[in-house]
Amino acid sequence: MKAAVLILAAALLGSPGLAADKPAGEGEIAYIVNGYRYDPAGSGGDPDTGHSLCGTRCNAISADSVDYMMGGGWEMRKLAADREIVIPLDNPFMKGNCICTVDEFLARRSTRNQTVREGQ
Amino acid sequence: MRITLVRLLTLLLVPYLVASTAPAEELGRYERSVERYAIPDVVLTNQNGDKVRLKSLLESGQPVAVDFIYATCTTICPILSAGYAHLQRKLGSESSKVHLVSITIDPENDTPPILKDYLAKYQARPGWDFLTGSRRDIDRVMTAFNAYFRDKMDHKPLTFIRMPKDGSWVRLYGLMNGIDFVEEYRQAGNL
Amino acid sequence: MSRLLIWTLLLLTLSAPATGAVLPSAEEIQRLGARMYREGILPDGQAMKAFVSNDVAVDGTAFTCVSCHLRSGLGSVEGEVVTPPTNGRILYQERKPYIKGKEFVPSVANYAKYLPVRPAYTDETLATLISAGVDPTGRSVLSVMPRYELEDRDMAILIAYLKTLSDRPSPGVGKQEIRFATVIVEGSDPVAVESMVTPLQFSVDRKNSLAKAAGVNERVARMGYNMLGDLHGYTFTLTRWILKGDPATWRAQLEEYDRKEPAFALLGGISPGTWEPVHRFCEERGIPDLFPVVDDPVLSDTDWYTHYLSRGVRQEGEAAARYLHGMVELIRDRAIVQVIRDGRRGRALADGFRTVWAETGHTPAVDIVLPAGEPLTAEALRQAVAGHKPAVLILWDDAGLINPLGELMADPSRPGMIVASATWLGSAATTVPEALRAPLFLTWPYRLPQDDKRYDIAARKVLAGKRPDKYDQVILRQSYITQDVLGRALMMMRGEFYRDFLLDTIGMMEDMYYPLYERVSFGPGQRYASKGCYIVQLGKGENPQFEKRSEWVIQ
Ligand code: HEC
Repeated sequence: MKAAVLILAAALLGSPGLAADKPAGEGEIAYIVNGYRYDPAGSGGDPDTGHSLCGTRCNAISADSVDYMMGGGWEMRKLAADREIVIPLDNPFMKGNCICTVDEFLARRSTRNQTVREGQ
Repeated sequence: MRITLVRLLTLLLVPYLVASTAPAEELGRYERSVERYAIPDVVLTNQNGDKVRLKSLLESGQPVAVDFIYATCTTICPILSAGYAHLQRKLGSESSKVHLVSITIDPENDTPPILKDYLAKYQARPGWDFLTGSRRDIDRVMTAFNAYFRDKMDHKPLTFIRMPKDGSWVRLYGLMNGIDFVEEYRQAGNL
Repeated sequence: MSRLLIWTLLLLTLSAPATGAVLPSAEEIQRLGARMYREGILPDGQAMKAFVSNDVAVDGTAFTCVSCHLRSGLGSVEGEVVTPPTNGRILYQERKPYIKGKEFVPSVANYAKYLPVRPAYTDETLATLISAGVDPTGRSVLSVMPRYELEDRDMAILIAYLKTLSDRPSPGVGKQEIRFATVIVEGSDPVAVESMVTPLQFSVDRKNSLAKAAGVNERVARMGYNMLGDLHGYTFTLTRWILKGDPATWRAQLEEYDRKEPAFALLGGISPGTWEPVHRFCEERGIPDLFPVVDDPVLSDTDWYTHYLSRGVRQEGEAAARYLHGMVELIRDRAIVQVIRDGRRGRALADGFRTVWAETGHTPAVDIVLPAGEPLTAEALRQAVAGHKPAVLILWDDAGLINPLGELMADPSRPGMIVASATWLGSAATTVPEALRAPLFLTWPYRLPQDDKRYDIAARKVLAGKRPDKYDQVILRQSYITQDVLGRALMMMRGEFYRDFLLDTIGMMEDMYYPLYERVSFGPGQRYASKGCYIVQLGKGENPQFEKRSEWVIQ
């Protein structure tokens, strides 16, 4: 627990430049994943296993819109729908890529409303 | 395409409606409609921990019913699951021809061992699978069935039966009598 | 009322079981009644038999009263379904028509809005309801409520048991006051203790100032009532129960505190070591214990009263097993080696992995235990790898593993994948050399640090202006959760301040997004709020961030 505290403390107290320290208006790109496919990219990887692993890999990059809202003062603006992005499978035992179908959002601190939801 | 046949059947159970102020005589019916759904190609995990591709599982050509439940849910799930168990018992030796699928809407809590215990409590026979998986995938399955619940506490009693002849789905909303569920299943052309 | 109904009613009343059966002792009623109510088992050991949905036979072992009416007997709400209370106190009172205009108050009136009026039950009419599903107005109730086949004596026991549910005020609840306590085990780090207590105290103080203001200002009182219903006038107290010495003596100390100043519930709590004696005490006394700050909770499938924030450090090991299960096809026939630093933490992590791995039916991992205090060497790693040629090497150890692991990377027969605990590596995780980052997968049971910053403002509210760097950030956030869950639950309780109902109410809460954990979730009988743990890898460059390789919950 101690060690974890240090990481969090570093992230929460120190290091400027992270999202919450940015001025209102700037933001970060967030994806909501709607689908996934495996592309063996010539590696001969098993399609069923690849499909399953790409499920994990693509869903891992999916943001949770409620999570963005509940911290307070953040909003999400949709930039694109059903865009396909390609990411490496990143599995030591299998090569290939994952094609994730995503809705793309710009998540940022709201410029209108800096207050935190009551009770949050 | 959407053919809506809202049927009013007496003696059936629809719970008290919180949202609307339903007069008492409106209680006791379920809604039925026929729909088409595009099943997402997601990988879920069954009660044995095996990965299953939902689309192939549901579109295998075998008769199949789907409901959304979770292991610790009150009132709604016991009734839906008692209905599944009842169908299996009524069909007796034929029960293996019927594929019953329950999908958890609480993947946070419902691990394969919990799913397995749940099925055992209802004395489920082979042919009733309880699936869990990634929350994102399950959200998509719920959305595909037009059954998205923002939270498991907003849960509604829904059952779907796939008609093998044309791949359309009978959507049943409400808590049904055992006999009506068996009848709906037979009618869907599955038996 | 229709003729037919009257006839049915008459017939049912005539055939209703006589409840004049001789009852066993009060303890036996508790024991046998609870068995029917919670487990669906009759006094003779058989499963209870019932019909639901008119024609569907069910055994009590599939579900029984508790599944719908909950443990406290005060009923449940889920989606559109409202299940009414089934405790004697409420059943033997007339249910009056719902009073319009009260619906924004979370009170009994609001809840009853959805339920038809009825006169008070008697033992006879109650037996008719349970066996035939007909209420005292002659209404055949929804067939969701099962119709139970019960012998007279069993029915009498069940009814006597219903009368004992939520019938006497819970200890710690006064007319206008609710008392809480927090257990602090001597020897806990003082910063940790303050971080645990501060959010709780903040919440208590805020509630009390509202109650005070409401006492002198009519408008505040009205506002408070609209917001909190019957709760608005209550004041709270929070006492510290300090435990000293050998854990074997804690029981007596707890009993003494409980005798002198009983608490409705224990909040938070902290111990540098075991929590077991406190857990046991709460279980036996039926005292809710909400979210103690402990790494190694008491796991049980049946215990009820202690709710933990998570399953502790073992949850990281469990997540690692679920993640690897997803790729088991790829490592088939090759070994997994688990190197375990001896001690509470290493053993909990390893046990979490082992248990889940066994559940999925895989060949157990090879365990290699490192004695406490003995540094991990590259040579030891090389030996482990040479001996077993593992596909996956799991290292449950602290940051001392980074250098030896770096040396192992040069070895051509090194395992494809390495798993370790990011919380145990601590801030040193960011010093892992780039060459090591591709095969290294880490467990991280919180929201990613860069994302959790969004919750800073919320978390700091409970500090009431005090400087955040004086606190332990994890514990502060954990305690933030405790006070918020408690506040919400008390508001939902419609003035029924019973211990079992507090836990039932938490079980009906929606998933919540709080500081620290990506998500916490509840459910009847669920006792570990955070169920998740990410598998992450380190990004590129200096000061790398974590990148997710899994969802929060892996299934
Ligand atoms: C599957 C869920 C379920 C189970 C199991 C269940 N009940 Fe019920 N019960 C209900 C519902 C729903 C109602 C409301 C029915 C109505 O009013 O139409 C109800 C109504 C009641 C009532 C009437 C309350 C009133 O105010 O009129 C009593 C008493 C009762 N149940 C007792 C029990 C007992 C005792 C058991 C176990 C032996 C039990 N119930 C098991 C769902 C259930």
